[in-house]
Amino acid sequence: MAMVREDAQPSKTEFAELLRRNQTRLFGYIHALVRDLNDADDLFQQTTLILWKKFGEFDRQRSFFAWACGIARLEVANFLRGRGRQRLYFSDDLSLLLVEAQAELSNDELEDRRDALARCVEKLRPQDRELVIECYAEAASIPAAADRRGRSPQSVHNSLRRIRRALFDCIARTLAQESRPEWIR
Amino acid sequence: MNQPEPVSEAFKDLIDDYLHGLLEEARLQELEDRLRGDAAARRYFVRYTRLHTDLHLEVRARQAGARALDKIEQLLRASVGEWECESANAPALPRPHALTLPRLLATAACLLLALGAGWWLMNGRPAPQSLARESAIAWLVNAQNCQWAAEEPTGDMQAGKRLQLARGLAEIRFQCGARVMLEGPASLELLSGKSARLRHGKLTARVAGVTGFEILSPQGKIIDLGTEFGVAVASDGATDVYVFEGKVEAQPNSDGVAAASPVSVTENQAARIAAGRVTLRPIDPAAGADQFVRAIVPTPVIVPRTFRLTFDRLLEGGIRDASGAATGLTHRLPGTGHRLPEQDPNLRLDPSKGHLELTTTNSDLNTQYRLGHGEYLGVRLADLGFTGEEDFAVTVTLPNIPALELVGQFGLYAGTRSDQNIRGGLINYWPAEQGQYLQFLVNNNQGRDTRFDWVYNRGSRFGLISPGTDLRLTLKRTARKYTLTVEFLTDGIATSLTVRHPENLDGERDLFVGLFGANTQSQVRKTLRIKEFAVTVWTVAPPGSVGE
Repeated sequence: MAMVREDAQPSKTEFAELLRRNQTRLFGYIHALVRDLNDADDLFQQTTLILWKKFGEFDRQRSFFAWACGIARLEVANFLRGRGRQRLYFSDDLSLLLVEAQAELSNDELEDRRDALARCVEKLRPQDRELVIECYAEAASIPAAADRRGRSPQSVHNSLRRIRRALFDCIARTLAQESRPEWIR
Repeated sequence: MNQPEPVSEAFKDLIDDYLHGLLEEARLQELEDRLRGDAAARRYFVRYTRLHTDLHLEVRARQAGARALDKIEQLLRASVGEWECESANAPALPRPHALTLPRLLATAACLLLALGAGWWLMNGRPAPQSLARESAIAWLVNAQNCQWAAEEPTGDMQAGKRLQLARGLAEIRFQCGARVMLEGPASLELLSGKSARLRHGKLTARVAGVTGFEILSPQGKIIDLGTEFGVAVASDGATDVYVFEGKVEAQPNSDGVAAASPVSVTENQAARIAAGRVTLRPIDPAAGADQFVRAIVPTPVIVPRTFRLTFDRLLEGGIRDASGAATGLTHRLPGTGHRLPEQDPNLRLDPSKGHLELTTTNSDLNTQYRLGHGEYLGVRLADLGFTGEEDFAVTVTLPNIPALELVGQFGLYAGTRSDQNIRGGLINYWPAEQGQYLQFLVNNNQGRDTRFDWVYNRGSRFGLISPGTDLRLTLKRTARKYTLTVEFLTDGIATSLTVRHPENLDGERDLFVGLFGANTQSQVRKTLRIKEFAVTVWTVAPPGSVGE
């Protein structure tokens, strides 16, 4: 039953390593374009599979991330066309421009941001934390959360906006503090 | 690198509305123009949208952590002493507050590994911050048939916790010793170790040996003076109190001028708190003691009904193989196999060897690809007494599994149709080598695999499964939650996956279960040997009807 291709092992190892180093950013890139987490995950899986199939064509002189985003962009465009609502999403040239900004986010920064976020969520007022958890647990839960509180969806949107901005500022403060040299702390 | 960019409020509003899908075309254009023309704006944008992504992931991690802890606590209650954990000294039946965090985590790791669910700890991000607990003021100590409208509570709970019970019974013990039976639909906010606010719904409270336990309602409060009582809050906030035993004080909200004086309500009396006053009411049978549930009674008797095929003899009925022999399998998953001939050329029953051979076809439930030729065969659960709510399990034994090419998959399914189901088993998918497999479980809703409900077992030491292995697969539904277990028959190891509960199958009365094999995205077909196939439905008999 030995069916492993002779050359499969080294290229798969290399691919796995490249993907590991870029997957967080790639996922973020796709999610920023389609906004829905389930759609993003679907497209991420699809993109990964295509990347693996086409890995033989990948030019090692180029950035893997840029190459991956190129393929992701096509998948996203196809997906949005299929939904017939592409007008509410970014145009293709802007998607391309955003690759560069995404590429600047280092894995270290992404990890630091995620860690800081976890701590900042803890600092929220309990009712704000509860709202975030409820609204971010499911894709379509904002109307339900609004309903449960007897509020309008718009007012929940407004609360989420306020909380998100507070979190964003909290993350910036946390990162700024932590990047100080040891002796200042 | 992280310096906040000088960004206008109007631009921030555009991004927030973009994230919520609230931008109309003109404002989308405005956002695009802004991003096109300004690299700093793009830098801000990717970081802000990253927060949106991370919040999703963070919340999922917290929920996974909370669920796992919850499960551990249930396990600890159910089977203390059966597990040997070197880091947790064989715990005596723990009181909720005796579970300190380090010990809980040590026990958690041990139990999860023992259960073959080690993948959660290895692959998941357990978010230690979310596990750091403030002191608990109440504990969920018993539950029956519960469905939570919001986040499912963990065993121990802090002040400020709001319990939203859609249905079922939940028993909560407060720090002061009071026990509250909450009956869904109801919403209860825990205020302290001796008080809670009932926003709507019903509860009963039993307080032994202490006084001063309080239930607040939108219209007032009930102060316990050593008793058992029931409270019901209607949608307009009107609050009914019924005293089973002892005495309570019912006090309406103050009108802002003078504190309203409390009214005593004693045994077998009822009162209503509404519009700033308390009215003692005559006992109306509908509003009296009978409307309250005071204890969780044992669940009805469960009778398992099993259908088993061993493929070692010729049978009368069911789906026929290439030569016309009946396999005993009775139904295909609706929406599959309708283009296959009556005598299915992909099936070959061999009673002398005691197996059924199934040759895979190129089909896929995800996107509903070529399902007319798809092999998804089994039984209809209604034939085993299934009516919608019962637990069930389907098992298949597969010796010497073949090597399928990329995306090739086989395993078990449960569902109503080809486009509403859950399936799991083994799949050849990256990073498995050709011929190797990952264990998987995925919900399929409206014909598409919902990818966030898709779990793999990869990266754990049992992650990759090689051809030639002897396996037994079990897909089981317990209290509406599905688990896929793979047992390695040669060495006795088993690993399990669970997946987010597929709401689309809830309440479906006509479910089909069975096995499948597909060389998805490949033309290379392989043959599976099926040794044994069994389905069990745990039917419910009314209490007392069996064994009396």
